[in-house]
Amino acid sequence: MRRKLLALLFVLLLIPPYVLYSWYSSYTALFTKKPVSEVFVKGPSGTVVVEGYRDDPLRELNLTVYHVYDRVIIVPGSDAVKSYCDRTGKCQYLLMAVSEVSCTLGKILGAHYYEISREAGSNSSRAKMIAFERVSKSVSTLWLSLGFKLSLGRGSAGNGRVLVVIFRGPLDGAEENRIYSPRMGVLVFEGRSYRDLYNEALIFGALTGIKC
Amino acid sequence: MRIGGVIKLSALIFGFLVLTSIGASAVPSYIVPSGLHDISEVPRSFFVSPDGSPNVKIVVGSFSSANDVASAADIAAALGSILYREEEAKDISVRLRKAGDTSVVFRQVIYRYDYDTMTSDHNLPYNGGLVGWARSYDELPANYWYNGVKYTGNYSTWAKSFHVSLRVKNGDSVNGNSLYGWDIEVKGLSLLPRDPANWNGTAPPKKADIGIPPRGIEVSVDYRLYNYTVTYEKTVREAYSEWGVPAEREVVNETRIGNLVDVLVDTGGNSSINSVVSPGVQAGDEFTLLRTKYHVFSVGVNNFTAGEVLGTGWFAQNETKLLGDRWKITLIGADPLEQKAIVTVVDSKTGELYGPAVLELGQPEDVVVNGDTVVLQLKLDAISENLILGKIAQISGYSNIRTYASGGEVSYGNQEWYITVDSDGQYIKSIGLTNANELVGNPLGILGVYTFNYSFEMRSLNERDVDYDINQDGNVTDTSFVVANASITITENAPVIHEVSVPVGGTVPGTDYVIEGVEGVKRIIIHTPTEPIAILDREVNLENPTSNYILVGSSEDNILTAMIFGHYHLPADFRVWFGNYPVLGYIPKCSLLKGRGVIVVAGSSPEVTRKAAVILMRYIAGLS
Repeated sequence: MRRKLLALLFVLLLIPPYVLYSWYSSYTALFTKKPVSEVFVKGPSGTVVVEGYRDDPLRELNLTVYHVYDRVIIVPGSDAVKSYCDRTGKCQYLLMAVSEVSCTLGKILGAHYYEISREAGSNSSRAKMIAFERVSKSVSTLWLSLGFKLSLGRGSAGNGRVLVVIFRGPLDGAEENRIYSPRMGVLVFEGRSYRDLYNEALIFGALTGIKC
Repeated sequence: MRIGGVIKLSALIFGFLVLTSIGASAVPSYIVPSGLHDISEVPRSFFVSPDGSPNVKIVVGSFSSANDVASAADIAAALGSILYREEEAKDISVRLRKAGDTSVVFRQVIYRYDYDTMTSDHNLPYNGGLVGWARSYDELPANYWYNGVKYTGNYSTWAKSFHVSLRVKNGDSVNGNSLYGWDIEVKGLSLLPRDPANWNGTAPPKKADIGIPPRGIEVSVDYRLYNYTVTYEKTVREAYSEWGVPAEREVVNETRIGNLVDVLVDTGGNSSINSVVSPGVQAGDEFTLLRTKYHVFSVGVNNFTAGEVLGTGWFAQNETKLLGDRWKITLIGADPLEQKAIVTVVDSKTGELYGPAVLELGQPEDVVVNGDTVVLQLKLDAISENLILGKIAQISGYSNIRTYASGGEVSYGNQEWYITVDSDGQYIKSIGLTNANELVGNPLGILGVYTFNYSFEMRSLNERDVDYDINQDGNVTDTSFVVANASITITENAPVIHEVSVPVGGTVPGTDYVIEGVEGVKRIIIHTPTEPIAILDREVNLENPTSNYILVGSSEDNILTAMIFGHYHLPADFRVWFGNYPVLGYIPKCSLLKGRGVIVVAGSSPEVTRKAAVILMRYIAGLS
């Protein structure tokens, strides 16, 4: 009897680590998916691969971007990147990459809120005010912590309601210069240097058709 | 002397303190360094050039800490949320709606109860007029329905005023050419509430079906093609505003071919019909009506005889195949010498077996007949003997061959419709349809092409939570007030997204971007050139600056801020001179930057800089 209880206890103890492990591995799986198609786009400094997992990479990218999300979370990097930036102050290119992408996303969401406010009868300046308020509230930045990785793996962030944009630089294990959307609500910029990430951010603007 | 006193004193020497509040929400005060102007003097043209493109860049400091990265993202997103032209916003929202599985073709907010409609549509005074603000669903007033102009109608005025025209280009085809658009009118709509069950017609129901009365929808397809001229203005040269070169536009007359919908849709009716290119559909033609394909046998006056095209299939001996989506056909015998085939048919809908029927080469055979309608007609198109497959036969078919006359009924998407035929004995000019019965549902599918949706949303906000007197009764109490809106949306079930093909090595239209290689992909979505919104302080070309600049960061972080502060003899040490006050200054014509405009957004720390940026963004958002 006691042996059975012990076994049960043992199994129960194993469940939480197993669940956490499965969340974490579905998080890491975001970056290791095999693409079915690739488009090579030449930018101002170097070529970038846009990867697709279902059909057309550019279509997938645009489907992820052209969607109305309740929240947009911009992840400039992990906590390691955060302390690197604070220590050295050398994060200008990361800053510019992040600015470029959030400006583009801000414009898409802003135009959406503007348009629905206009359709609902607001005048232009009031509609811009509403767009500004809603975008300022819905776009935020977050440094990648273990907790956030788990919620990404679990799917509570990076879904049809919350868009997560991850910048994956050299300190976070970037291997290639590529842009991809492994699932709806997750967009990844991966670059071997922060300058490469900036290049990708500029290409991103062109691929979405938004001049920011 | 206290620190605050020191800072106020230094502000008096090197700037002035702006204590301001915009609207109802108090904005934190900031310092304008002396010699610089207040941001309230910044004109809209600082941000946007006359052609609508952004005219401003964010200048990023060489020293960028983690906090700077985070706030830059927020600043850029906020800037992006207001930097677009009206047409651009429309374009983006169309793309947003098209990106999903369905595209929204029509949306009307039919009831709207919020601060805007109370104060502007109902002219309730800001003080005192909002005391009766609804606190629950039951308190929502009856007179906030859309009456076609404002949100002041009741349910019946809305229901009477509802009218929508949908014009869809290239909906149908004749002999394979999709050139024939639809003109759809929806007149009259009603809500059939499900929740609350005993709805009294005051506030919009929480859940409801949409009802369209008999003959409430009219669809018409014009099968004539016209040669018509469209007159419009075309930009032959873009503006180069920096050189003072204006845009040049030219009036263009363009000749196009299309049906009545094209003529009406193109340039908003600014077109004229020159001649009829194609007079309509005649006997022997194949055409589609709401995407169902018909073969025309004969055309009379205001009627025609046609059958739905099932298609063609090759059958081997004893093979069973579906022809169309209903009829299972089995080839049980084939005789190439006699040029005959024998088939049996099973109606997959009812399971009923017909035949065996003998088909002679080239002779149509009515296999299933019901009254005046030939439910299934089959024809043997070819028969031969193949070494590998043995005997094979090619069989084609039509279903529902009948005479369609004005006033008759047809069924589409499991709904009954009355048909109107405009034909002259030789050509079918146009066909109209209107619903025979009331259509009810939510979502409500129409003709298998459109889906109507009704939705209701109510949200509440507690005065305590936001520490604001929402209903203006003079007290902030633990009371929640509601806002509500209801809307009708029409989506198209199968949106057509037109994309542009770019070959490998080609340049993406409108950009400098080249597609290097494509694997497994043929198409690419069109896009426009991009200009970075942010640049590095040391990359700003002082000799030849290209836009206005927003300098982010103090003299310590941003070289350009340091240079400008030196130029205007302002102090470099923000912590000592400006303390924790955000610093904002505007220079209309900066002599350091060849007369370009500059806004300085700074603070003694990244957090304070961020506060300054928020004040600036609020100001920009208020510019119309």
